[in-house]
Amino acid sequence: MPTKLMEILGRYRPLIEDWEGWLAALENPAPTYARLNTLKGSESEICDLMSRSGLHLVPTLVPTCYELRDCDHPGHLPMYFQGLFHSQDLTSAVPSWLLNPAAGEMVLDLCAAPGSKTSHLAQLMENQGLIVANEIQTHRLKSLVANLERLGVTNTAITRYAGQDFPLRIQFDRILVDAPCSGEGTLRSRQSSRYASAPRLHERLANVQGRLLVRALKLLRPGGILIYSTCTYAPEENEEVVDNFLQQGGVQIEEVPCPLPHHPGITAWNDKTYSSEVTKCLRFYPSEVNSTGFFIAQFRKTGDL
Amino acid sequence: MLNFARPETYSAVLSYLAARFGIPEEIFADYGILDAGSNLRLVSASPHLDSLSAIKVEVLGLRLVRKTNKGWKPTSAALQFLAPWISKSVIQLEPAEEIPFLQGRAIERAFEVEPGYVAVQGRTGILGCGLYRPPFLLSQIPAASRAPFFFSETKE
Repeated sequence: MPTKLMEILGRYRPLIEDWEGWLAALENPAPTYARLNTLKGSESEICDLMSRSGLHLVPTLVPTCYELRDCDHPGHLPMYFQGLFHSQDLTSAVPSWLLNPAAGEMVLDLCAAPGSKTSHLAQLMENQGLIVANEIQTHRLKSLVANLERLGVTNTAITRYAGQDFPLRIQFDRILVDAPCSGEGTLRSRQSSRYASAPRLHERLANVQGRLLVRALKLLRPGGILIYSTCTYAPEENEEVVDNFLQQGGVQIEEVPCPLPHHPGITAWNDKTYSSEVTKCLRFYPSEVNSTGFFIAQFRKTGDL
Repeated sequence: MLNFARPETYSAVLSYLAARFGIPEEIFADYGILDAGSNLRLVSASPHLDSLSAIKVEVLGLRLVRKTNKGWKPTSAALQFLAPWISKSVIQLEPAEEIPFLQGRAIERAFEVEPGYVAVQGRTGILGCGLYRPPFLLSQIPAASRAPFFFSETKE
């Protein structure tokens, strides 16, 4: 394990029961996963087509998501250009899947680029209802638009607001806040040189994440569902953000059944303690899910905020 | 306010897609068509669309056709999306022609279709839009999408 990576991730040793297994997982490249795009055909049709083309697909516990064996550059396959599948980490597909939008609903993806989760939501909604995919970063809009077009998404409007300032003139049935984060869950040994941790990174990001959640709650109809996700292990960006959010009231955290191996949220980190409610959060570790590290919490709006 | 295509534009583009590609007009019953300057965009019909007038929308739906001096030009994304309903103006490529087409190169040979825009089909379905100008099939795959494509069986 490179020293730099150990400096970043070493502090999580108290959280990880199987530390050696966790480190070993980071020594290997993450597998490639493909989410089959049922907006372009049935799962079995696409699966057959890909298999007949020589691709080796292995089912996972997440519907329509497969491990794609022996294929290093899935984005260069014609079937990718045709939008028959989308290359997406397995854990990255879980937030949209758990949000479970119905076909006719009104859904907001507050931090949408590059569109993996937005297009998954469109797939789950069978291209019906309406998704608003918001992305503030102009340079990321291009990839968002390109992915939605390639995947045949017709029920999505793209907006470009700062998420924490999204206009309060619309209410949504379900909202996904896949927040900007330190991204440590995506780190592998071979990529560590590309990662630079900035001073007070977690603290600064937590501030943004908290504001995004507060705004999302205001945009949610009473009884509506909100999912918060990050791809980091940092409790400052996960349980602490959730704990602060719960203290504001008008929202409750929900137990989420998930078949992928996971751990509950933690209730203490360094000198801080959090509400026992945060144990309802889900932590995913690469050594157990064979994908990127992830964190997910699901909320229901209880009041008329 | 969303700028839906005027009725005459809506009818004209559906007639074009029916006449050129055999796409039944009925399949558009569940969609609206937006006029977005030089493009027409296909959007799923939904009562929620009205609420979008309260916010600023950058892009909505799928780009269906582009307006040109010579008429409508279908996008590759739209032809891929509408593939199950396309029955005319289809060119079937030989396997060896698929990658060059996807990389934007012209294919020189005669095809039994009327000159004009065509849906180009490979072994895995509709690949995208081409312009048949005998004796050339000109690839209309967007430049930004011309990745170094390969097929899995040829990957080394």
